[in-house]
Amino acid sequence: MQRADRGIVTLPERFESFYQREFRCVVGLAYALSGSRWAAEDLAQEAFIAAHRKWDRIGEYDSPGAWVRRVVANMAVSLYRKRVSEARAMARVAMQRQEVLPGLDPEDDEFWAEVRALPKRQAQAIALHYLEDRPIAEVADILDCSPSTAKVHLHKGRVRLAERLKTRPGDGT
Amino acid sequence: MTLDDRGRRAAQNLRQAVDEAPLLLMEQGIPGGRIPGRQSRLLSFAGAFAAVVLLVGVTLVQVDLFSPDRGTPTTSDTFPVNTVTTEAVTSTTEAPATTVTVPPTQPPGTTPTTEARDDVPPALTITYPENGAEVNEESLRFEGTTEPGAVVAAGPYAAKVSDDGRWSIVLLLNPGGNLASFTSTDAAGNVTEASVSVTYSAPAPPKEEPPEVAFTAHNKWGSCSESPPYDEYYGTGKPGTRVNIVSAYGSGSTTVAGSGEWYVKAFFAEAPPGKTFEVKAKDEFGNKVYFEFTSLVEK
Repeated sequence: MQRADRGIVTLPERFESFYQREFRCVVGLAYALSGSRWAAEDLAQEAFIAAHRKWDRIGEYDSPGAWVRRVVANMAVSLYRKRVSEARAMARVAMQRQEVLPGLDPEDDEFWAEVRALPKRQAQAIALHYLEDRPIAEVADILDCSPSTAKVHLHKGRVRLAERLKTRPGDGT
Repeated sequence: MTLDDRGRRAAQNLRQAVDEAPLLLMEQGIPGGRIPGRQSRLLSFAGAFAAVVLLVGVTLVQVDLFSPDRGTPTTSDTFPVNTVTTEAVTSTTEAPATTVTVPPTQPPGTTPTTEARDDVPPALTITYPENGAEVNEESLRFEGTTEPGAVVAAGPYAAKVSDDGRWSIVLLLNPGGNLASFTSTDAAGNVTEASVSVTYSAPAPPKEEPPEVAFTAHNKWGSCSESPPYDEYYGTGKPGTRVNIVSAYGSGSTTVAGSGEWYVKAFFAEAPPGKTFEVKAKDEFGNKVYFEFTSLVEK
């Protein structure tokens, strides 16, 4: 299938190249928002398989990467909250196992843990902002909200995160 | 250090950790024995992952199973072709059994030594699917057994091998005849090859899609003083697809008509008087248009 855009005919990207280009970035996003390296890979796999099954349609999107990230961001946050509740239940019977992100130093671990503790949308906006350095418009596209809403999520998230980490927000760029 | 400094550093370190991670190692073996609930799900995830990975380049060789010369695979336009010996292919087609074992090949460059060495090739069998099987699913989990400790691979991708030598891997099939080739390599470097042919009957192509119509959305009022407050939305879209009107205080939904036009009246019964809020019109493809709505209903 072909798509005409401002007089330029473009071909939809092949799934293989899309996968090769995006997979690790999406794993990173899932990693940050789920807190689990193991789960991050699974989440990314699941999202890419879903994309592959619907590639005829998703490949036509302006940004298939946004679609995959939206799926992963939602699944990762849900998974993290489920894991937290499970861990609390486990703690009651003194069987809790603290999962530490491999390869991250304690300060980074603390940073991402605080990000995950934010409300869902704020956590997703923060992760996309820092991890992928995405402009507000793209963050909004991934979160499926308006740019102004995304900006509010990001602002509130940064303020709350700065409080929890006892630091200044910075210039926000 | 500001939050931004810390956030950038944390992001950089996380990206680096992911970049350096050998993600394909997900395909390492799992403990043997029965695989209860959670592990079974893990296996399923990893297997599915293999299916995606194998899109990049799979060891499946598409052959015409109905050709008299079935021992000569034809290359696929999509996937790079793995080296398959004619002997292995011929054996596959001639033997009624489901698996084929080819004598080991000595790794190149090895030199004889006086020490006792393992010259015994690892056993390699394919227990599923049967040779010549026909399936309707694009992805298929291949299963078999080998010598415990051996590495089973389909081209560059390793299968899961349990402690007792059972292995499995999911491959994507091409429509028509497929020849899947596997190798088992033991610690001494002895290699055994095995292949199995499978026919994938792809589902019938979908019906012809109705003509594409660009998604547009408009609203009529933007505010309302009637109770319950409402607004009317209309536009164009792909015939037969759904259009949803979404907000924090009410919603609406409709199907695009065959003409490519849609219309829906959305009520915002819960809208606080005087408050302006965001309303989103979106279709099934992720296209969306944002509006604002204000309820003018008096308290």
